[in-house]
Amino acid sequence: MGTPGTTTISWSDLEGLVDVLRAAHPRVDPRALDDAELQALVDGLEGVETSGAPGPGDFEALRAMWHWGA
Amino acid sequence: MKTQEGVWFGCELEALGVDGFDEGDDLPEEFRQLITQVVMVQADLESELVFDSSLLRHNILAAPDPRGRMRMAKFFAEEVRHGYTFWRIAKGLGVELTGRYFREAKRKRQEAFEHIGAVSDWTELAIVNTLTDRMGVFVFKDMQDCSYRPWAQVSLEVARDEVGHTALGYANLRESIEKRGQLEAAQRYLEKWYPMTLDMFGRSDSSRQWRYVAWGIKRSGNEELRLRFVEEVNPLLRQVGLEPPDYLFNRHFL
Repeated sequence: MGTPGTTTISWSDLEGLVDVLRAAHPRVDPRALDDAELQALVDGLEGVETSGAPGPGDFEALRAMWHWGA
Repeated sequence: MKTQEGVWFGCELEALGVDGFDEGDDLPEEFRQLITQVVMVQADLESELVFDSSLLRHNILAAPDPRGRMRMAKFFAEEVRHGYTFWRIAKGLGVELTGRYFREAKRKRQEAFEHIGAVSDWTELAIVNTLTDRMGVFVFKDMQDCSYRPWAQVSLEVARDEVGHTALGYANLRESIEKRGQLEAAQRYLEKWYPMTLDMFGRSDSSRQWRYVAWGIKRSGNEELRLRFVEEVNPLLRQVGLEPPDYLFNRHFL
């Protein structure tokens, strides 16, 4: 259960996560970020909690979806 | 960082009292040969795209849906830009690459390059991009402070593009496996391309690799880069249910 006033996004919903990241960081180039830096951006999203434990492939897929567009 | 004893990054340059070269400089002969070899290896694949668009069409149309085709078209726009960049740098070194060169020259190419043109299956293309474009990331990051300044100036940008390319390959691979049931085919293609990609880093005992280091062209030896690649790519492959082949499986250049 999420904290009141926050939205919870699962790591399995990469498209949802990418939408939020794009809106919060419109100038960021995800190709320039390593996995730890991507995780830090996700952790720093205001009003958003994530559920699930990402593996290295989740970061790679996130990077692709963010960069190449829907 | 492991290097040959008595060799360190740029030691030949130190002996000459210089820290690098620009286009048009009078290059030491060994340096000229080595940097030309580096440029030609990259140009051999990507500069061909400037003259022959058949590979672009082939690969873009391999995508199973409009989104995949759009992404591949953007992908190839970057590859063509790389091809032009390498063509321009080769020209600065006195090598004029032409359409005829790519069509007719009997030149030594890496084995993988011969196979890339024949790829038409989307899952196989995803494996190729996951592996060979990631290899490009390692190779270009290693040359970001290359002593040939025209090459250093483009290496980081090319490496960043390749990060995007390998990520796209991986996303396509994951989708092929999870949504199109292509795990078995992906494993088959992995066993074909994994050893070829490892071979692309070059022989572990190559004496030339240390000459690149000595001239400040590359920072790392072949085996060091290859091991770092394996350490990064194997967990990615396992996460989608693939089993990376043994390090020495079907390798031709040890």
